[in-house]
Amino acid sequence: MAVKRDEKKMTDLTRQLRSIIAQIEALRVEIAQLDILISEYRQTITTLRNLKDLGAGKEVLLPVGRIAQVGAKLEDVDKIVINIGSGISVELPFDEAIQQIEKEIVAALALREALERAMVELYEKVEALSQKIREHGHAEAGEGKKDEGEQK
Amino acid sequence: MKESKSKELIEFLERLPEGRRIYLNLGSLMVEVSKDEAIEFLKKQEEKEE
Repeated sequence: MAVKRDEKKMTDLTRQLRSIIAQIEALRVEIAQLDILISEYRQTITTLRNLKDLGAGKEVLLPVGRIAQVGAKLEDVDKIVINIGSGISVELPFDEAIQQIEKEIVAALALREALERAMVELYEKVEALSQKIREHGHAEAGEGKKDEGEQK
Repeated sequence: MKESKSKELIEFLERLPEGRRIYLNLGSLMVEVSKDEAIEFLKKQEEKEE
């Protein structure tokens, strides 16, 4: 009876451990996606600044699908259309548009920090659970030896 | 969270000075809409989510 209870406890602990590891993995994926997003935002700011510096009249290539590009003339980069979410984009003056993207970067970095904190907490839980599993394993091994001794 | 995001966007649009172009992203198309139309769109989206 005690053996069955111990087995159940061990199974529960292992299940909890697997679940936490899965959560850590999910957080890791989310953080990686945020890193890509932050890097894209920074790249966007650089590109917009470069386009503004190049000025009106420059010839640019517009991508059409993955394989084709057509030439176009750049106008003044004074107004930028920014996607603000929920399927809405708005035209903003250059500086406001840059500020908007920087705000998005700050928000993404704050979210990243929160996810990292959550991951640290989960790692602590993994450590505690692993310790419990080790202790449980040792206790089981001890009981097994005791049983063998009694049988002899 | 999504609800507060929609509210935040509506407030953002309401504060936007007149004359700024606003677009709805419909698939690969961007359709120019008025401020009222954009706010209406967001309100409808919010209702659908509730």
